[in-house]
Amino acid sequence: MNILLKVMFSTCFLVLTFSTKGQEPNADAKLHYTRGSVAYESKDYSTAITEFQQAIENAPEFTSARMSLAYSYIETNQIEKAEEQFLAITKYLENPHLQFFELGLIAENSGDLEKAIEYSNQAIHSGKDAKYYYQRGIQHFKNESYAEAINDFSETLKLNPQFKDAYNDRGSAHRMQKDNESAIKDYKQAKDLGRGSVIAYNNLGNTYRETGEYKEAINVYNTALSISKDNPMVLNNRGLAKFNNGDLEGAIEDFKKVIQIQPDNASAYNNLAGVYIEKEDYEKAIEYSSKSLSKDEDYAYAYYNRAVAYEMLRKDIQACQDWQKAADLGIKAAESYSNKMNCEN
Amino acid sequence: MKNLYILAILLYSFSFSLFAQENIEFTKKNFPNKKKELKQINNDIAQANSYFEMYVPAYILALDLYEKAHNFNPNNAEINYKIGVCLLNTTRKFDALPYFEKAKKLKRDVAPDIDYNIGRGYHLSQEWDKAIAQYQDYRKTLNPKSDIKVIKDVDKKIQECISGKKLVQNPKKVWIDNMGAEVNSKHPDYGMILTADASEIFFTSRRPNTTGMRISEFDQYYFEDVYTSTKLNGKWTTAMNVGNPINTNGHDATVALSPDGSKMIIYLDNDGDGNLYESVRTGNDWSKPKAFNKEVNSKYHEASAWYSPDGNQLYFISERPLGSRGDPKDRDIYVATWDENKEAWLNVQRLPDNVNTEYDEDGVFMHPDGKTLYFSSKGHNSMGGYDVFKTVKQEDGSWSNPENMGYPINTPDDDIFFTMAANGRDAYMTSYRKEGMGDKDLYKITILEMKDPVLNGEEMLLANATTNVKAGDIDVLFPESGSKLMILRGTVRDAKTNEPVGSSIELIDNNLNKTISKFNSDKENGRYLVSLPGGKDYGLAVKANGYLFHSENFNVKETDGYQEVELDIFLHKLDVGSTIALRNVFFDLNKYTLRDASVNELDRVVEIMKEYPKMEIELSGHTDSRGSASYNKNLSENRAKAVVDYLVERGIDRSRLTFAGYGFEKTIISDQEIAKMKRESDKEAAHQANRRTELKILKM
Repeated sequence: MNILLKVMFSTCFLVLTFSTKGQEPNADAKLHYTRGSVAYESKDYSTAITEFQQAIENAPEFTSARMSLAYSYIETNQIEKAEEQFLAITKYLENPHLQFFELGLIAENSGDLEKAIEYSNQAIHSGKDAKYYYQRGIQHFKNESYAEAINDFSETLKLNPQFKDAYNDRGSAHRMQKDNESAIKDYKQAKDLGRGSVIAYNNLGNTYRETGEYKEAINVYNTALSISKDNPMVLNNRGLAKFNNGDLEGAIEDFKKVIQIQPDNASAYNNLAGVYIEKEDYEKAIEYSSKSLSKDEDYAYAYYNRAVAYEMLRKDIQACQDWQKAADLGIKAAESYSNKMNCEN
Repeated sequence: MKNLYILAILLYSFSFSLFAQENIEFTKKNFPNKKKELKQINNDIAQANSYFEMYVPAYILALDLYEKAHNFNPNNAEINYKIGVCLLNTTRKFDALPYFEKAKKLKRDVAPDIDYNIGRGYHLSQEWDKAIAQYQDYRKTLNPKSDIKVIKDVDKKIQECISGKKLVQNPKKVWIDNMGAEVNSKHPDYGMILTADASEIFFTSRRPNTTGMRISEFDQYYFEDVYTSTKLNGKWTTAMNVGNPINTNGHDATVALSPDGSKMIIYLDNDGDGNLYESVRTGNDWSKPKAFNKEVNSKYHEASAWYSPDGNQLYFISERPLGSRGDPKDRDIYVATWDENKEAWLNVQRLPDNVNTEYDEDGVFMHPDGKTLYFSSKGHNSMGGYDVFKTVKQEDGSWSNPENMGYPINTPDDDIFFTMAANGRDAYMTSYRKEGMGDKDLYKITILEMKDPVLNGEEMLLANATTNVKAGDIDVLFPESGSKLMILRGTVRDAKTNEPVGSSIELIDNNLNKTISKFNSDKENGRYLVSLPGGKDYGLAVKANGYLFHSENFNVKETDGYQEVELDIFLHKLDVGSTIALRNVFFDLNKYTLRDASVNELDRVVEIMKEYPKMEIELSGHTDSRGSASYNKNLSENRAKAVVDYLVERGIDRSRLTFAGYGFEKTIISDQEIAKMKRESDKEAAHQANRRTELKILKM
């Protein structure tokens, strides 16, 4: 389950009051609610659901009970029912911003980003909170509306300048718009705030790598690794930066380390294959790309690299097979290479 | 003590005499006991000299005799020198250097140009610095006033060495493979020409089964004939003589082939005039070669040519004077344009001075992409003799500065008759190499496109890792492949009988509504082949008497890379019930407004309706299976009606026209079949095939 959701639910659960729209719930309702709360605490969600349902039967406007019921449904993966409860609450409260926010999260997790954004709009309309803007920013990002995402992250930071995740995510939105300069600025802010996020460092390093500043990228990855020792994601990216920088042996070292930590990492094996192609050691390249494919038989890039190696060794039949497989898996360039080799014949 | 000195001097003189070779003349004094042989050898030398001194020296005949003399007496400076010169002018040129060096050792002043020839020897062996040194030594002996031309030649040779040194330091990644014994022989084999898909080749050979069995008195090789070979299951078939009428008792040499292999250009000597002739193929038979018109075949020498892929232009080599430059015998590249009305190649233009040089150009070849011209030149930055260059025609009609194809495609020797398959990967050339079958051979050059390996970084763009988005292919950029074109080939057949049909095929640029070219499918076997360079939306209209025309559309994007498409076209007779898809009728997305690019196709319908005034037809709209049934039915009906409205506007009586919209009720390729397809591009092509406007004959 979404960590943010869980955090929100726990927080909400702790601060819940017996809030209703104007009316105090009756004694029976309160009793069931209390029993439900106890059951929830002891993770007996089935009992909690029954008790909360009873509370609501007694007092339909008992919004706290409805909230608790919604969370119980979420815990038992009954998302649609949780959604129903949040929606119901919006009728009873004047500013149901929290509920709209939760609805937005549910829609986001189910993949309906348009709906998620709609709910988030309503949450923001009801109550301007940094986290609402932030979450809507994420939804825009996932929906590939990067300009809107940037705006929302900026609003988040206006409301809370210490919200370092917003810096990171805004940086990524800039990056998706190919504005690497702005991306770098934001990533630097993200990593400088608080104890520094490995993700922000990683993103910063990747951006430097994209702009051709390989040495800078390596420095950033090194710092990230000092925070998160042997982080395989960072190691992999540092290996790539070393490769780009011409340090083939250094790249090999990093990719091999990734494999030590994650023996099933198809990408790392394939990256090793790529380095060996660069070293013109095509036999080794074939060995590593084959290993990559043993971990992920549909890894298109591994077929691509293996095809390159086979072609350089003049093993045309094998090269053709791999070009065609790479093409089947969506690498259009492979189709052209296959045609040029007259593979069909 | 004195005796010791004398002994030392004697020893020194003796050892000196061992190292200093003496030039030995062919005299009785030197060969006292070999009078009879000496007389014969001197006769041979005299005969060899007469061959050597001919207006066009017969080097092979001279060499044979000089080598006999050399066997008799290897220490004659003049014989060594002359053997060197003969070798330099044959395919054994790489063996010349030792003879020149020996000649000089035997007699420093054996010939005024001995240093030059030693330089030539080093040049051919790619010993650039030594060659330059020799050329420079020779240059010092020349008179700056009276030897201007020679000095120019020496300076050129020095420049070639400088170029060679640079080019060899940056070799191109290629594989060079002899085409094998099925094609090559121990006799000279050269001048390969090929269809665009490299499935069929023709070349010139001087092998014993030449037509007429004649041998040239100049070089002792059999007369030239044209041979052919076909690719079958990845291998070349045994080369066959193409026979009459292409091959005659005289020299018959290959020059060019149209991309579909239906026309061949050959070269005939015509007593030194040198002209180009064209022969047309039907099935397996070639017509008697016919000379090109005089705008192409001038009174000067024309040697080489190639068609543009649309067949509208002819690039050729001519020695005609340049007007103000007036240099005779300088071979340059020209281009002529086909005039359909006058049925002649006219408007001959010389390619500009950044392509043509003051030195000879030859061996011209236009790639099926229609813009890359390969040619050989002794100018530009050649490393010696002819080198192969390429130039690309720009949008504004100018040509890019020629680029040397590099080493090892180019060598210090002549590198000429370079051709390339449409795929841009397989090229072919004539070369003399030690590993060949003897004499010149045909070689395949695989031009390796350097493909960078693909390495993948890892991205976690959003700070909250569990809801994260990965950037996907941010890191991965696939290199663009070289040849961006489609080769379309197949047969044209009768839809009912499956018999081949000779048809006319029109290629249209849909965006410009303009016919690019017209060509034909073979009457006997129905074969056709066309090259479609990337960056255009093509319409193809196939017509034959008594048949409904056939329509195809190919939107070939530059980014598609190289493609080969096999398409057999089936023509339907003009009968009730015959149906065709109008593939070049276009609508805006989700709309029923006809796009301008549809005009050409619809005018063809108008034409056929006018030709058959009693014909009644149904126009029907069809969609792919995406979207709702009612929406698609509605859209398809409106589109069919739009076509009818257009035809009515063009004067066709509405009563002859019916329209219907079928939505996706009658898809050509079912959803099940599409679901089985692996590639997205194939699936999209299938959906596109389902989206169509159809014409059906209801009444004749």
